[in-house]
Amino acid sequence: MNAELLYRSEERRNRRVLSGLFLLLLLLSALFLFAGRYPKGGFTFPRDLAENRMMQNIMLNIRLPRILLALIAGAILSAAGFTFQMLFANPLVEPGFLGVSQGSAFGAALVIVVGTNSSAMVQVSATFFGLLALGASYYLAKRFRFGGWLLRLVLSGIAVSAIFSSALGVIKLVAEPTKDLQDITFWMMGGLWNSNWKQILTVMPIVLFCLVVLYSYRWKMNLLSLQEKSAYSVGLNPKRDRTVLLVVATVGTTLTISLTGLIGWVGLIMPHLARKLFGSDSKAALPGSMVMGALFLLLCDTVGRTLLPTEIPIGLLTSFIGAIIFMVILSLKHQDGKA
Amino acid sequence: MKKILLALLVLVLSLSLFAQGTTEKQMQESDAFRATDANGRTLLLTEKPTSIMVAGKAAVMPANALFLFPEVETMALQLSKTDQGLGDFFSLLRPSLDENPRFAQNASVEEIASKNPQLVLLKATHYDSIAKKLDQLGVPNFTMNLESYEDWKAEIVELGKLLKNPGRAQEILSLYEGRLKEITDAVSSIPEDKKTRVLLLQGLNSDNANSFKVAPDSWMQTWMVDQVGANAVWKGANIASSGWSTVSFEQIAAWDPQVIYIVSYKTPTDSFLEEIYSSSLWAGLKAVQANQVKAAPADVMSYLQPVSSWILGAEWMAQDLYPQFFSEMQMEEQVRSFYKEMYSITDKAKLDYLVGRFNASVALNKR
Amino acid sequence: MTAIKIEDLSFTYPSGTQALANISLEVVESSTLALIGSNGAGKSTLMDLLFGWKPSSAITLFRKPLKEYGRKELGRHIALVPQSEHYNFSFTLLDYTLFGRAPYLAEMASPTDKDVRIAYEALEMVGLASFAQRSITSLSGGEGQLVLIARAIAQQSRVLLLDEPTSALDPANRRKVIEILSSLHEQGKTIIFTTHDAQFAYELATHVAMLKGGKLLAFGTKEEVVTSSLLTTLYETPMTVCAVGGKTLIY
Repeated sequence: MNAELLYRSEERRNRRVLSGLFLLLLLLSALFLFAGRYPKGGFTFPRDLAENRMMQNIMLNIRLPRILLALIAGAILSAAGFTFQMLFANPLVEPGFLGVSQGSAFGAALVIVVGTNSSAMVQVSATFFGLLALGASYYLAKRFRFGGWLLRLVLSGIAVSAIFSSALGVIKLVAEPTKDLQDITFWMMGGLWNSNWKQILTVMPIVLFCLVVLYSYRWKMNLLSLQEKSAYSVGLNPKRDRTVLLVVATVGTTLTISLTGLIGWVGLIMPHLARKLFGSDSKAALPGSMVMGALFLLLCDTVGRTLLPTEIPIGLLTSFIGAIIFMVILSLKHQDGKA
Repeated sequence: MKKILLALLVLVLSLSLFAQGTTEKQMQESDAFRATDANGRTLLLTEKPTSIMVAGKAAVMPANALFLFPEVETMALQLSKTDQGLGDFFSLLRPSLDENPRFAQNASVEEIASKNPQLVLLKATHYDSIAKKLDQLGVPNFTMNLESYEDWKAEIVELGKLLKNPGRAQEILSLYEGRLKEITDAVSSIPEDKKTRVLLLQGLNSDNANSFKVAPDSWMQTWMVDQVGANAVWKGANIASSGWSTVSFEQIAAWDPQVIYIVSYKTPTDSFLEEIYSSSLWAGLKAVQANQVKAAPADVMSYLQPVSSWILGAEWMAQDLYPQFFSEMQMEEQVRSFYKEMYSITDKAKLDYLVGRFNASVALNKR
Repeated sequence: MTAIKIEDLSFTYPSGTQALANISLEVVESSTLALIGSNGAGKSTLMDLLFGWKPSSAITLFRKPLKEYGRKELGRHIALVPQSEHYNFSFTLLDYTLFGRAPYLAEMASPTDKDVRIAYEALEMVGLASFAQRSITSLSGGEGQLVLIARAIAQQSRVLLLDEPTSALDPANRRKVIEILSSLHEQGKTIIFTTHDAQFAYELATHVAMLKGGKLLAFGTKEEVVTSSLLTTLYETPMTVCAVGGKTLIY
């Protein structure tokens, strides 16, 4: 009986923390609507907002879509990282693991070099090649003869990542140096400055759907981190569930990458922090990582667009801050019990 | 016998003294033609080169400088691709360059060497990747920076030494100095607070969205805006990188400049101007309201970059910003005289073509 | 009442090796069956088939063909205690035991209070209730095995399958496992386990099935089947069964 109460109180505590973080997220999002470069760098709370058309325009058409993009991107990248970590039972894994990121980068670069400027094509291509990379890794893993399933997947992932990375390199070579390289550089370092309502309204619903699907699996995901036999013996359909989750996590990631370029570290670090805060049970840690990922990206992007007159690519900020947090995590002693 | 030997000795000694003297004179002469390149190496050619290759990325710039010298007319030349997107200047000057396809900008050292050039001209950025290796292969090469006015002045002089025509180098410099002085003298009287606030943006299109970048303080573009007596509002902004950096619309709105120049190196500027003038967001800016968002001038290359025609860009901006000081200057005439003096172009058809391209580039500005 | 009926079961791996040939046996409900044999005899394959991990049409569970069971339905009837498990995340023991409640939860649901209680009771049964909030990564090898058993208990199934439950345990933990399984047996659960330890099999089981080279060498009550001659044939090494002071010793 004691344990029951304890369990429930843990749950309640987690819910409180999650609500608190979510509230913080809303507050900061509202607050950061007032941060930017206009009329000066930093925060400005104009008293004449009702008459100030330029400020309204900026807040509504520049900052708001950008903040929303940061939130959604942060949530899905973090959730996808969390999902991959559970599915591969390895806390050091990212969607870039099975070549997904490299595949989407290649897909987008291909479209850019070919010359079509349609953003829809870029997204479709990125998602297509991201999924292709995932499928290729899976297929290759099935053909290997030795090692456990996880090892085979790791090795195939490395091979597929390498293929797409080099293909991307070839594209860089072929592209006129003064012509398209800059587009690809943006792609590699990430940035949210191209965000606009049109993009967001086309892509967000799909990404939101992916988030919802992942969220609904939040308890089951625990079981998918066990060996397949065990998951099967408690009544799951591990192959089906894993496929669904992998595809959903990948699609969410590639669609986001197609808008923002490669943003690394979020999928690796945020799940770790979420587990530290909420415990290893994915029932609480998965939603936690979504909210924390959104917060993290919101903070990074706000810094990236406010600190200097020129844009700081967000990939740089997430790598820098992410790496520091990572080192801190690694050097912290493991606590017994809730880890 | 001894006396003959002694006499011979004296003769030999005196001769060697003479020879010493002449060698010294020769050395003095040759030192005059020993040129120092942008990486600090020196090169002395035994005679004027008759075959030159300009290789590597941004070959435009060394080629640009090379063509200022009349020696070029009798030389066999090989150029890598130099079309920035608006056309090829050198094909215009010498159509025979295109008889064989140009070689690629990222051609390997082996490929360059296989064409047996007497001299290879490169941008200094290729020092590690190409120049050093050419040294190992024994192919004479010479690097140039040509990024700032100071670079220009010094490196034209060195190039003159290399081509054994220092007189022409001086001539070129004085032509530039003359034109520049006319500008700076005219605008020197403008007080600091009356200087027009100008923003120079490079327009880029990627993923169906336009983004705009500003140049670093140290680059020629920023320097030019200074020289024409304007206030470059973005100075101090681009500290995060050493190249063009993206600025958000917010930042542009915060600067709210009086005049905005849009430069685009690969594609015509039309689409950027279209978007700016039709956007409800940009409509709130001073410059848009006063129709002061303008395309930067170009003919086959944009004038707002460190190529030889930068002086035309400066003249154009000066007149655009302060017409009252340049009422007698005719840009078309400036363009014609520039190409005559610098590149000895006298063919009326070619000059008309260049002027026509220039006019077209700024046509949209007459709103 | 027959819990499990196996009729003429054969199984060949896709690679061509035949693992099992013509196995037929019936497991009575509430009995404890030990599957013994050398390594490679087919014990693990048989286990895999019993909970549906590998497909078969020769097995009937409570008079219904195994194939006809739904996934969750099957999970409510048979629980597996695997030989080992990897612990990559620091789940608490209670969290971990709760995984056994999955067959009773709707697709996207989370455990209810009732599930938590059942899981806790399962932990009590294996004597780890006081560690309920500890991380699973902090357990010793023996305790880890106990948690796997707790998870299976939480499944509240009528049949329990255990794969080599004591092969990695020290004598104290081994005794614990025997106690737990005995009391489960008293509760009426049907227990099937594999082991290479004939002594352990004899202590715990009511029935014994001997597998050799994929064929059923012998099947019956332990008194019938566990004889020196059969054991010697099974392990191809001299084995002796003798009674010492009321206990049966096998070596």
